[in-house]
Amino acid sequence: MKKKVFAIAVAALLLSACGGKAAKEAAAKAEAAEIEQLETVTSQIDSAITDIEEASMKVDTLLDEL
Amino acid sequence: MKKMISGLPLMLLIVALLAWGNTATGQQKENRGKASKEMKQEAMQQKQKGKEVAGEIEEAAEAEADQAEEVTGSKAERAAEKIKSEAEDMAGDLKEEVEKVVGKVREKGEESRDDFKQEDQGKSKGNAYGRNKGDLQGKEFGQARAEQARLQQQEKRAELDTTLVQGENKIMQAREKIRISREDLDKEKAGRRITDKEYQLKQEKLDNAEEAVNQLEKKIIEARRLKEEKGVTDL
Repeated sequence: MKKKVFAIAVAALLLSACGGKAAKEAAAKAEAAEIEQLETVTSQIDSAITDIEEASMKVDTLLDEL
Repeated sequence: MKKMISGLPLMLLIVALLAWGNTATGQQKENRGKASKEMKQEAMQQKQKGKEVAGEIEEAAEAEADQAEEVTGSKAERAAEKIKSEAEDMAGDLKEEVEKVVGKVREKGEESRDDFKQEDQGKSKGNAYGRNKGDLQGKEFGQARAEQARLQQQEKRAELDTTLVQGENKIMQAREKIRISREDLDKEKAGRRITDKEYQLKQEKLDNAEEAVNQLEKKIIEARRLKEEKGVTDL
């Protein structure tokens, strides 16, 4: 009986320790993924802005030539 | 000694439960921190919005007052003063509202922070060992990075909005200019004021300009699509 209780207690202790660590790791991973996604979108927006600015400058140049 | 050994499993069970409890508390803490941060951010945004709107109203009122003064006459002055005072009232009301909202949000934030502190103090009696360790700092660092990334994206979105508006205006102006130039060119050709070669050359330049405008329009459409697609992740 004592052995059983002891085994259950050890198992519970290990589970709680591993569970906490796993949750923390999952949270950190989710945060990193969120940051990566944000940065990707920001980079896409930045690239779109650059494209528009370049196209706009080309229009200006060609209009000046008219 | 035997008693101690027989009580060991029970002690281990208690320790496991405590560890479990700590994990739950940590998660609660994290959630509260996030909520408090969000509330703070909301308050800041509301305050800034209010300030901007109030500023705009005041500016508009001043501009209107200036215009009215230019038109001259005491009537105009009176009207301007009336508009100005109305605008000031509106701005004042708005400021009050914003301050109320900010106050409410701040109170909420402080309440939740106090609750958390009390709870934290109550549960941490005699065992503050291991608190605010490197792990928490790492978490805070991650949150700060995420926040920075969010802010950066907001800035870029605002910049994109401005660029889109400017680009669309440019397209309209350019198309108008090209249309007028084409009309003038046709008139010059009809009046035989230019040679065929000159006409061809100018036509080519106009075509190139039109192509560039089309390219710009394409880029703007693409950017709008990107904005709509990624708008789902707006924070």
